[in-house]
Amino acid sequence: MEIIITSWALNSYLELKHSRVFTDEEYKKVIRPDVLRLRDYPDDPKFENDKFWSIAEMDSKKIEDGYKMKWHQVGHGKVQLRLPVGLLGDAFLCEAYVKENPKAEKRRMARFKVHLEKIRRQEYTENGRLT
Amino acid sequence: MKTHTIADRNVELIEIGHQMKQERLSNTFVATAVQTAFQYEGVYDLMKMWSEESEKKEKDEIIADIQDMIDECAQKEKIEGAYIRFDDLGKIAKNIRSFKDNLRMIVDKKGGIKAVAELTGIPQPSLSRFFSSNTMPRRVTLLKIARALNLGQVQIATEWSR
Repeated sequence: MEIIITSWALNSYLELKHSRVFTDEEYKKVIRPDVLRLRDYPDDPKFENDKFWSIAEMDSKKIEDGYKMKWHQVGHGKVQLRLPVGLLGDAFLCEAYVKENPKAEKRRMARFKVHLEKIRRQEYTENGRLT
Repeated sequence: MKTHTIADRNVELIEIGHQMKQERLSNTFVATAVQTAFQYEGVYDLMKMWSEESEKKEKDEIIADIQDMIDECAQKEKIEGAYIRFDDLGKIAKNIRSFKDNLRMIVDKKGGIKAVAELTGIPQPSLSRFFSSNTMPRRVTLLKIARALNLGQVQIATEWSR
């Protein structure tokens, strides 16, 4: 499976990087290698761990084609980092964020639904592929 | 259980649009938000969240989200953007921060975010997010600000717009 970096992912990384949510070392040793596991989806055993990978939901309803990659205790702030991923033939990295509260999470999922629809309609920006 | 038809949903959206108008959001924003929500379920969800929310801060965040989605839904084709290495992100984010800080100074001299919101029709929470975030500024937003404040191309020129 190819791993597509969308402009939403790129811009969210800019924000997270500037806010120092994760360290460069964490990105290189944990986050990036985990995201690269998508190349072997669903065979990599880590996808069976629901603390790392789950179906995206909103109001307990499954979001079509939507999944979440999750990291816990990230950075000096020990935050929970989320990376929404759309699986539509390829893996589309969407808008990463720090998990806050249920209301913010619901807004994030609404945005993710729009992004998935933009991908289906082929109306998105690709900023390269993760290899 | 009562079935929620597309017609019901659309009427509901128009009603939320009226509520938005009563809360003094611009006609441009309200009309575009409703129109976009007709087509995108995620925007409908945001509109509904806004109508059911009572906290001002959270309502403002939802408005900023809706404006983001309106801008994103205006894209009608696939674009191949530039690949950016992770090691360059920090430098680019600093560059964007500095650009937005300079533009913010100009805006403040010309009446501040509230005045620009009134002139552009962009909701105030959306402009606040624009200036506080480190994401690439959208060209459409920069052009609206430039037109409203009569700024030249040089004042809104940045290598990192989208």
